[in-house]
Order: sequence, then C-alpha cells, then structure tokens
Amino acid sequence: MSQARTALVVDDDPGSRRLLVRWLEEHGWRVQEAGTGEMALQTLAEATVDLILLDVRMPGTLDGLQTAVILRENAGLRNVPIIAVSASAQETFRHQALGAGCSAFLSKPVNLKLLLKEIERFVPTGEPQ
Amino acid sequence: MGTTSKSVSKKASGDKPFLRILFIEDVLADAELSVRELEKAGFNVSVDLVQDSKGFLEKLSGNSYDVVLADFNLPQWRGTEALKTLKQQGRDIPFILVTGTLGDELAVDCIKQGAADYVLKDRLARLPVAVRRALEEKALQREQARIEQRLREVVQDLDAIVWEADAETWQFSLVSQRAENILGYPVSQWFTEPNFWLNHIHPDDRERTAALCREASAQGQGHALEYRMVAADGRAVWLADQVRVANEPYGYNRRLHGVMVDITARKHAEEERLRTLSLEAENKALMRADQMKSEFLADMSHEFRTPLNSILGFSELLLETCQNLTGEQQEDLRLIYQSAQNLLHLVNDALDLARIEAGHVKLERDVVPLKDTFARILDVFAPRLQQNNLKGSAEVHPPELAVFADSRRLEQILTNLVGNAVKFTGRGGITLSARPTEAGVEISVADTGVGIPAEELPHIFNKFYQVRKQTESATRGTGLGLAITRQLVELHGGRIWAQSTPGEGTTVSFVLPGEEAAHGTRAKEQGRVASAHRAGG
Repeated sequence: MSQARTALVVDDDPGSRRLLVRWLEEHGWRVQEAGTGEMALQTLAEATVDLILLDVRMPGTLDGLQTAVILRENAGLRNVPIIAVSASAQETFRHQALGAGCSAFLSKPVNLKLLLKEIERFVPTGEPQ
Repeated sequence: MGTTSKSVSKKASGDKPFLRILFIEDVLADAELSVRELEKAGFNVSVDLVQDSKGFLEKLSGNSYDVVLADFNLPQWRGTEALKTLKQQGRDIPFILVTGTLGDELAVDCIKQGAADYVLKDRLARLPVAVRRALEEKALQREQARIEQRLREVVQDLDAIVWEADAETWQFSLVSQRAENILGYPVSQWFTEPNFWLNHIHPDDRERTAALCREASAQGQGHALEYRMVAADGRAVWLADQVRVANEPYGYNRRLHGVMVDITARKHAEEERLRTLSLEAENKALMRADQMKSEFLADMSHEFRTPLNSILGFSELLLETCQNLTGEQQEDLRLIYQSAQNLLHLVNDALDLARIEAGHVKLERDVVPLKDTFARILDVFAPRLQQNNLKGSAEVHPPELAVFADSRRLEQILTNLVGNAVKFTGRGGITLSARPTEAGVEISVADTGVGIPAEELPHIFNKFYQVRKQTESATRGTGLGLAITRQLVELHGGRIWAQSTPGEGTTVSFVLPGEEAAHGTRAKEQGRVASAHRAGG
C-alpha cells in the first residue's frame, strides 16, 4: 500500500467519534479527529485530508451545516468529499446537509459496511474492500 | 227674533288674508262697522251672523271659522255663554268680545274663561290688531300642540322603552308602547302588577341590578345599567337602561326617568367575539404544545440514536475486526448487536406511533396498483420465506385492482403484517389477497401459523400487547407493529380486524375505502381524476 489516505472525523459524541476513527484505521486510514466545528477548521488549516466525516448536529457556535458551508468556501477544501452523519433521521436533514455542500448523508446508527461503500464512491482505493 | 244669517261682505281678493268670522251680534250696523274696520286693515272677510244660541250652534256644527266675534249684551243671551258653548263643543277657535261697555271685572272674568281679547265698540280701530294677535297666538298654540303630539308619537315609536317610575317603590307610571314589542307584556301590566319590573329581571341579574339602582337613586345620581329581563315568551332580553333621577316638587317621592334599549344582539355578538378570542388563544396554545411535542420527538429520536450508534457500531466493529474471538464471545457480541437492533426498532416504532398519534403524519395519496405492491413485498420477504421453507403467494381480483393510498405507508402496513405472519408460521405459507367490497378494497394477509386464541384477538392491535403463547424472545417484537398498522389504516379512513383458528392460521384483513379499479394507463388517469375530485371535495 502506498501513502496512507487521510480523514478527519468531526463529532461531538466521543463514542461515535471513536467508532468512526477505529473503523477507518482498521481499513488503513490515517485519521484525525475534532469535537467541534471550530476544531475541525483549525485542524484543516494545518493539514490536508482526503475525506471528512461530519456530524450534522453539534453544540457550539458552529454546527455541522455551518461548518460544511465554511469548508466549501475555502478553495483548498472545495473538492474534499464530506460525508454528513446524523442521528436526526428526518428527510429534511438530508436535504439541508446536501444543500450545505456535503457530498453524501448517512443516518446514525451508521451501518459500517454501507459507510465503506459510500467512501469508496468518493475516494476509490482501486482495491476491493 | 228668528235666526238671521247674512253675508256682509264677500269680496274676495287673492293675496289678502282670508278671515272666516262667526259673528254674534243683534245690531247689523254694529257688525258692519266691525267688518269695515277689518277690511280696512287688509283682511278678506266672510261673515256668518247669528243672534242667538240656536243659530250659533247650527253654524258652528257645519262650518269652520278662524275667529268668533261676540257682542256681550244680547237680548236673550250673553256673549260669555257662547264662549262656554264653544269650549263644550271642543272647538278651538279664538274668541273676541266686541262690546259697548264692559267693566274691568267682567273683562278679566272673560279672559279667565278663555276669551282671547275684548274690544270696545267705540274703539273698533283696535279690532284688527286684536284679531291678528289672537290668530297668531292660536297658530303658535296649534304648532306647540302639534310638536307635543309628534313628540309623544316619537316616544311611543322609539325602539326603546321610555319610562317613569317612583324612585322608592319602583312603581311605574309611564311606559312607552314599544315595551310590548320588546318584552311582549301589555303596557298596563307594568302599572298594575306589583313589582312588575323587579320580578321580571333575570334571576341572575336581579340582586345586582336592584342594588345598583337603589344606591344610585339614594345618591340622586343618574346611572346606566345593563341587565336581562325575561320576556313574555321566556327569552332573556338584554337591556341597557339609562336612568335619570328627576327632582319632584316638595311632598312627592322623587321619580326616575329612563330609557331601556334592547342590546341583546350586541351582547350576543360580544359573547361570540369573546368565544372566538378564547378559541383562538386555545388553538394557539395547542399549536404551541404541538410544536413542542414535535421538537421533543425529534430530540428524543436524536438522543436515542447517538448511544445506539456506539453500541451497534462497536459490536459490528469487534465482530468484523477481531481475529481471535472465541465462538462464545462472537455469539455474545451478536446478542449485544441484536438487542441494540431491537431497541432501535422499538425507538423507531415508538416515534413513528407518536408522530401518527400527534397527527404529524400526512398521507401522500396516489393510485396504488395492488398487484405490483404485493409482488414487491413478497420480493422483500423472499429470503426469509425461503429460509423458513414457506410459500408466498398473491391473489388480486380483478388483477388491475388499485387503492387510493400513500404507497410508502401501505407498504409499511403490509411489511408489518407479513413480518408477523412469517414470524408465527412454522410451515405452509403466507397469502396476500385483495378484492373489492362495498366498503372499499379489502386486503388480507393470511398465514398457516400457530393462530391466536379468540379471547386475545380483540387486543392484538393495542400498544405493547403480546400474545401470551408467543413471548419467547426469539419471536418477540416491539409490541407496536400492529398498533402502528391500525393507526395507518385508520389514517386512510379504513378499518382493520383479525380472524384466527389456533393451530390453523391467522388472517388479518383491512379495508381501504374508495376502490380504484385500475385498467392499465387509462384507469390510472381516471384514478387521478378521482383523487383530484376528492381533494376538491
């Protein structure tokens, strides 16, 4: 395997965050994590990533939607795939997330195998998962 | 001397004031002198001359006059007798004495008896002045009488009860005619029945009104009251009563004057407005409560899913990635995973049911062909049917039968019912069927499973009801599936029921009203027309 692919997991719930980090690491990703939208922006100011997993509903000044909008305004981050993850199952959240610039939407509880399939759509490994 | 009547002068002239005189005079020359004076003064005169009582009465009864002129000293009669006769006849004609001599006392007496004036024969030049003034006074009196009469008529006709009563006893002495229209009692009853007013005030208002009225009249102040009276036909009539305390001369009780106006319509409108306002407030509060409930449900959903995400995710993670788990440990993890899945279903079902019950689920209806729907459901269940060695079949008669329903919700209903059927059927199969009935389209899911005891059948659509024999954890569901199913059927305006023979199987059926027989594309069009028609109606 060549250079490891990198991801940022943004979620205020430590359990959900660690689950995604562990799952991605198991599949060969190098993963950074952030507990708020602000921390995510800070991390991305210093490092580049191949993928962002973003919780939609987060406390603090920036929720997931606002964070996504800011990321999309940044020229360097415009094309990084963002997969929105939310425990709010309503259809409106899917529309809002896609409207804010997210590439895909998954609802919690996350089906991990489905998550891998979604990731493959945006960041192909060229290898079978 | 007999009755003589002569026309002294009949010269008519257009613009001169026309004066019709009844003249009581025995000396013709004297009468002519008087007439000449009047003509000189510009009157256009006609005279009927009489000498005695008989002639006077005859003339009076058949004619109308502007003035009566009378000599005082007549051979058989006195002018003042004529004045009395005039009053007795009720004739309102100015009466002037034209006489030779008249002492002061007699003159005053005549005036007292109602003569307009007296003129001495040796000062006849004053006659036109006296006549003119008498005519003017009479005209003024008549005008005043006319105004008073009109006022009386207006008061009687006013859409109100104008009244007068004793301030102490509340005995009414005047009540205008309209009272009969407004309350339905004859006016006389107000006067004759003791305490009529107080006794006919609505019992709920009586004490308050009496107290207010007593207090106000004690202070001698006018007051405005609003109270109900009970009309003759039993209706409660709202009255606004504007009362004035009138000062009476010494020795009399004070009197109350007032006007009662029927304000029943206004009161009802006010009540209606208040009712509307409170309804609106109630509605707003309900909407707020509804809104809060929605937010609560959304929050609950979020808060349940977050920990479930970790439980499900980590058990899946461990199962997928741990190479060195023993068989038992893998089984334990699967149990955690399965339990969390069950909990997730329960949360989903509970929230779904809460949303339906709160009226937050809106149906998106369209024409749904049942043959396709049944095929899709059997397709979804194919692996499980196969796994349990069960046969799945569908019977739709006629094949193009369709319903007007929310297709996603209809599939949810069928999924719940087929899921239950599969769970409780060991061998045989599941049959989906549909047929048109009078009430609509009847759809049934029949199985050949263990069945449900008759005494439990009525309860199976209740929340959290589990059939007793089927409570082993392997078959245990959330207990909400059938409750949701019933709610969804009822949301469609339909009805659901179950029949069962223990050991042979169970059939759950529901009717969706308003069948749509879909004959290919054409029927679909018709269905749309039908749906548009429904939306309009």
